Amino acid sequence: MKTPRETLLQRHQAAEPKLDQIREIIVADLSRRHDARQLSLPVAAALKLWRELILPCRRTWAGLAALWFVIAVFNLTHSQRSQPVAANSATQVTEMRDVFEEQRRALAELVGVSPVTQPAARPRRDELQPRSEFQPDLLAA
Amino acid sequence: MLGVAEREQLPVQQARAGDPAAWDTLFRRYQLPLYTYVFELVHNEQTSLDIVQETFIAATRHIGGLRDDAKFGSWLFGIAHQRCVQRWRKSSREMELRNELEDAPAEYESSPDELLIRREQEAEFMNLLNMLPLPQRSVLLLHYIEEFSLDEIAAITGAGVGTVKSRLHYARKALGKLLKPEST
Repeated sequence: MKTPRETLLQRHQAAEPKLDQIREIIVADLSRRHDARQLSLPVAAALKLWRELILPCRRTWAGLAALWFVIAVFNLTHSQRSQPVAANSATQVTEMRDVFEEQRRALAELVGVSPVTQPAARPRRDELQPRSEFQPDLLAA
Repeated sequence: MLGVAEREQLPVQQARAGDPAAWDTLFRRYQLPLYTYVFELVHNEQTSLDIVQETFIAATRHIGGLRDDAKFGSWLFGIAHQRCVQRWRKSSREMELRNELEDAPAEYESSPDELLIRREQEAEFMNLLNMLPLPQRSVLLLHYIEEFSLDEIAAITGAGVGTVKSRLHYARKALGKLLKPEST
């Protein structure tokens, strides 16, 4: 003789392995969450970031990383190539300056002016006179 | 009369704190009764397993809403019952069976252990149970599986205590054949 409870439960005893499986999955998930809560906050935050931001779209992140790598390599090789060009341009500037200086000296010799530019001498204070005493005939002479 | 679960010491307090071992104990205790209850209502293995899984997940998420730890069992069955109702609403196959009983509630306070079933009567018992309309079957299953009180069954099914009494009376009447003294 059995009670209705015993009759009913015995009838569904075969489902026990499947129910065990369900229980184990849920408890495992609970344990993971429980362990995560036990971790320190930065580690938990990093884990959460990894799980929610990186892991779901890992292909996108890998693609982006590859792209950045290609850009970095391209940038590196390009900068190495441009260094000699910069050195060459520095030499050219020096040469041009020398040529320009030479031309200036030659021009000064032709005009008869000292090649060394000196600042104009300031008029002495006693030579200064009011504008009213200015005599244009002196200039003409 | 104390229900089946009330006679046990269950680690509900530890489960509230998120202890996985406590949850394991609780799930282990209720998985088969809960599955039995759900299966006898929906009659589909996969749907029943899905509902049990959903109920367990919902329980871990909403344990904060449980006011009395001693009522954990009825609270869990309540979640499962709601899930069953949601499924019925979706499929609406058995809606016509959900007939309401308008008769006056009968006085029924007998113990579930009063009914003892012989091996040769088991099939007949299951047939009679499955022939009952859903509301009566639900009440009877809760009464038999976990020995819930009328108040608890009312809380689980969302019906009034009077309605639960009435349903239990008619369900018991339907199983009258097995309750005859000569058959026990």
